[in-house]
Amino acid sequence: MSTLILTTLILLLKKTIKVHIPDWLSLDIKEINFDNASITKDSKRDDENGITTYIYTLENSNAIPKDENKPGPTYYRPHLLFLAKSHQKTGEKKTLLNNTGDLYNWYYSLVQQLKDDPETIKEKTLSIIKDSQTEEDKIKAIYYWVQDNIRYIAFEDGIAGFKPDEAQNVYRKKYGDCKGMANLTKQMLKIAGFDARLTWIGTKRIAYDYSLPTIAVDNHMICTVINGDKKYYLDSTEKYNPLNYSAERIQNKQVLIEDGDSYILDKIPLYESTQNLETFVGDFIIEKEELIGKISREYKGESKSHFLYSINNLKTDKREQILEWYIKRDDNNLSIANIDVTDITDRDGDLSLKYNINQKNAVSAFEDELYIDIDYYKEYKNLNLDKRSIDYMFPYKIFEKTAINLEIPTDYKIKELPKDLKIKNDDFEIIFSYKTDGKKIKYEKTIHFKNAKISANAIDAWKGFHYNLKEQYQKQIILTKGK
Amino acid sequence: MKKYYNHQSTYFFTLFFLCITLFAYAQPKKSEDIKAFIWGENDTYKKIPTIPEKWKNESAVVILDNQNHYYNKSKKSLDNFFLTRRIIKLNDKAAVEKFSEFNYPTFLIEGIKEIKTWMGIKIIKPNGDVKEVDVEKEKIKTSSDKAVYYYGFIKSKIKSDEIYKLAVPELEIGDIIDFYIYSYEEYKTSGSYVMDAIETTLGGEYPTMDFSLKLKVENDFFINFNSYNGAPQLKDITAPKQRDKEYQLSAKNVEKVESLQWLYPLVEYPSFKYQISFAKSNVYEDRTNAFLSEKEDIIKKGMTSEEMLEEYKNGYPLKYVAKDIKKFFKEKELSQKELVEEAYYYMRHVYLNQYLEGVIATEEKLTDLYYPLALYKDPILVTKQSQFLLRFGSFLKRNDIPFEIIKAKHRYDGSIDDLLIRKNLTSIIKVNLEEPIYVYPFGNNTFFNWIPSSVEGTKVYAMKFTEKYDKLEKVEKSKLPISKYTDNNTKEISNITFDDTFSKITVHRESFLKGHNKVNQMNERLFFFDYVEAEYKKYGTTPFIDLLNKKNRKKYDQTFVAYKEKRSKKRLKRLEESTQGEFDFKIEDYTYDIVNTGRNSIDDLLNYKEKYTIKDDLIKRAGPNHILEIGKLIGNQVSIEDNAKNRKENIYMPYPRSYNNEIIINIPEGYTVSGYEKLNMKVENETGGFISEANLNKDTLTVKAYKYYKNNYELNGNWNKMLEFLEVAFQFSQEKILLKKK
Repeated sequence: MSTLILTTLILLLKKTIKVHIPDWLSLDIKEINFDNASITKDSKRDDENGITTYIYTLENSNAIPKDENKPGPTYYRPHLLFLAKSHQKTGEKKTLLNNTGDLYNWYYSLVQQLKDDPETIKEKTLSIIKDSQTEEDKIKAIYYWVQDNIRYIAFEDGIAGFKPDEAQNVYRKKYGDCKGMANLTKQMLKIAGFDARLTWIGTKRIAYDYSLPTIAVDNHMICTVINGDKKYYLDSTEKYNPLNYSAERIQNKQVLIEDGDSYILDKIPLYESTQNLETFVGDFIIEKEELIGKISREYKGESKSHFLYSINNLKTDKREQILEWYIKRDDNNLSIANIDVTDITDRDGDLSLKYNINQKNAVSAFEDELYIDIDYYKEYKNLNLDKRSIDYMFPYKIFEKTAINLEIPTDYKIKELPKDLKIKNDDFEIIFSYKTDGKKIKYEKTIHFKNAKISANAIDAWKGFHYNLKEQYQKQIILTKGK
Repeated sequence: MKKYYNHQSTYFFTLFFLCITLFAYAQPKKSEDIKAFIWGENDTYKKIPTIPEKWKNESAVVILDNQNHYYNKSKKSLDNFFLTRRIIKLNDKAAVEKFSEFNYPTFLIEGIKEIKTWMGIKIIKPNGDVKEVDVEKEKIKTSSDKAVYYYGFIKSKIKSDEIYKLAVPELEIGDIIDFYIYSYEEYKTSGSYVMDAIETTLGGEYPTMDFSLKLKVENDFFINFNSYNGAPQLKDITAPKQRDKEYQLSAKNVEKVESLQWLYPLVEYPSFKYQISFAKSNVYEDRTNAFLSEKEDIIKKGMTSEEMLEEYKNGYPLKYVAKDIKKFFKEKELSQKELVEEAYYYMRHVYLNQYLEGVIATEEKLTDLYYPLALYKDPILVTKQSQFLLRFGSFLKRNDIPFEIIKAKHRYDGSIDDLLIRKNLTSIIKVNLEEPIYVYPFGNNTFFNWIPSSVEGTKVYAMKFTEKYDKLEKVEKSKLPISKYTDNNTKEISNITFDDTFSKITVHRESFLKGHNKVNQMNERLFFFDYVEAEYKKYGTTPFIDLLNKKNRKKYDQTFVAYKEKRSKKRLKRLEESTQGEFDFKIEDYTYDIVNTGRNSIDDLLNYKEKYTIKDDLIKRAGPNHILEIGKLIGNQVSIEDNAKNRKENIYMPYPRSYNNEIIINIPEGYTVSGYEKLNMKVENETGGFISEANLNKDTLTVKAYKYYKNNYELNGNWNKMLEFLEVAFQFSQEKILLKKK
């Protein structure tokens, strides 16, 4: 056991944990996230048996909320982290995990046991890169091939939880866990002439870095290619992730890269939210109390990889239907035609989705006036965090821009446009704006969760803003008859 | 449904005749033999046929779906073998994912059941390369977490219990997977055994090029089998001099089956049903709970009136009138109809609900009792239809009230003319008074003169007694009545108020349910503690708590309060979710109160009140004015997708039904209403209708909407007529009014 979390999903009046440490074991206990919990610590000494006992008592601990999209438990739940440094059970001092080097040495000893057989994958590797012109093309070809052709299935039991499967096995089976996929990627890249290395990493779910010598520090493996000064981080489990980009869950996380008897510590770059831009552009006219328009949507970065992943996992014969459902959300007020989507297997280019739309019941006519509900999707309207106390995590850094142009019918003029709305803080920036040149109304909306979360300390700001957001979405554009 | 598939090669037949000692009584039980048996030299699917062009965009195409079932017997058990072979072209990622993992069990329950399973998988690559998966090497043993295997078995008897998990290696889009699952199932039996019936459409999730089901049985096995709606018939393919009988159903180019609203697939699509029964001798044949054919080598395809009479004629010895019921009705002066009705509700309590509290208290460990019925003197608990027929029939006989027994079949599994499986029948007593009365075996909340909607309007067998009511003498076809849409009604009156800022809408809703609309809700909405006290009093039975000894009573006094509170809280949450499900906006601050349980007769209304709030929804802000999405307050309306508008299938609905909605808007002071004229709508035709009207009074706007479905079934030709009123109702639900600042 490397960690022990004290709180639970039910309310606790009192919980006692006793940690018995024999004198022959050198064990550090780190007490983490103890600040806001009522925990007392006591110790006892049993000289006769040479045991020191630490007693932790947790009292009146609230149940951990069953919220969705929580950060990993090590970020906010009080827990003990055990660092077993060495033991002297047999008299002689034996080092366990005293520092990062010890942890690496153990991991590396497992890697050294692998009997990879590059010959079995050589022919395939060469065929994958045969049309690649540049070095980067070769890396990309192999990286994408593993993403596309190796299914992620984890049968991790015992040592298989730490030791990768051999490349030829993963290649033959066409499935593997993250370690197996990383190892196959590495071996293929080596055949292609690259300096590729296995790389240990704790995903965003884990709060620690490698300054703590424990197996609790990581939970994932990727492959790193070192090409001159440049490092390519390849996570083959991330379907539809392009080269030169790393998914949110590993960004800015420390990596432990194999380097023979030594190791390299580095960090995955942090990518800007602008890379995930998702845009929605609509041009509408009003006809018979219906909004008729052309929509063009574009997806970049992780907004794109999420979209591609969902679409590519659907049954082919249902794809069009599902795409329509994705747009319509089961609402028969919307009729969709001429859906045009770019190549859904291409993860490098931008993804675009275009269609014509006919939307009923978005325009209400009362007397001489038209009331227009311009925003159909009303994103985050239901993101109610009123009862939330811990960070709300998004799957990636959300950056969405909506621009809708509405032609004002010739016999109408604007009576009222909703007022602009804006909020900006460290975690989110949301802007609504309405402009007109007398012929058209331009509605623009920007939603930006730049850190992929609403931190606990920004939740109050969200609560206040959420009320305004809901009200904003209720506001109608009003046109009235006359020139 | 459990399906097993196999391709049977001619190799097997050759072997069968040449090596009788090897294969006459036993199927192969070694993996190598099984493999040779399926993928041996004479496998006709070594070369894969061309897939029709029309299916190129399908997620997957089943090239072969082959099932072989072998039913054998040994001294004290049945030894059955099920062999499935399927060859499937995987055209996309979804299909690869679906066939990339298999789980299969191997377990032994001593003295009861043993199952062993073998698998084989080959992958045929687009270039024709064939790769066989080393199943033994790839499979991983996991312990069973499927409680289903434990169900009904004593744990100590489970000698082995393994689930193997197999991730299929090397599987890619464009591959063809060719796999078999071969399983041996041994059931211990003394003399008779009825297998679970299989009732299925011919088509499945993917289109199928070649489908074959073979059944091979030794003597003492009886087969009930029939095909419906144009599915091919089962053929006798027993070779001359072959000892065991063998049959096959085969079909080519079967389209996939789509799921649609208001559809009974078994009635609409080509389908087949079968059931295998084992009965060792004539004695066991009589005891077997299935319709058996005269002889094993005759396939039973249906039941005639004469056979029904033969099957049931001595099944109703009407001699079960208990002392209590005689006493209860002794002094009562009641008409025959009143007597039947009273007796129904009396039995519902005395033979069922009386014990409910004790059974639940025991299950929930609210007392230290193990067997609550021990508290009663000569308890009579009626939970089976057959017990009800005897008890109620005996009472009617004793009171010289004429009746017959009705055997009906549920609409979703086809007409009584196609009766094949005994368990598909349900029984009703038809009391032949001037106006016939139907009495359905009771549940906790069922009604006198009510029959389930699933049998309404269906053709049935009417089983008539002799004058002495000592046995059945005649069986003839008859028909059950069908309720009217006005009988099955829900009326909801919603009173709507707004807060000052229009951020919060408060709804007080009162509902009145009757007919099937009511019955469907009874078990959801009522717990025994809502009605059992009143029943104890009415029928003079002793309340459960008064039967307890001092210690248990003390315990129950404490535990019951907590139990009731817990259940009530859970119910409130469930009902909130249920009401929430009617709308596409969020409701909050939900309360629920029963006004009338509606349990006394089918015409008695179930009446309850709810209160909830809607925050920041249904209101659109337009300067100083507010638009209210009033139509949404009647709840989500059926919305038909474009592709479903062109449905080719007939329309199967649960029952004729109607819904009244009344929305009373309390207009806030300082506001007027405009746009409500649009709420006046009317479409009516032979399938149903939707009518709405809005009336403005001084401070209120009252909107009434009425939607009804006249029938429980419409021919496809009437679908457009249904769409007419469904679309108007949907449009109503999208309508808005303007609350205008004066």
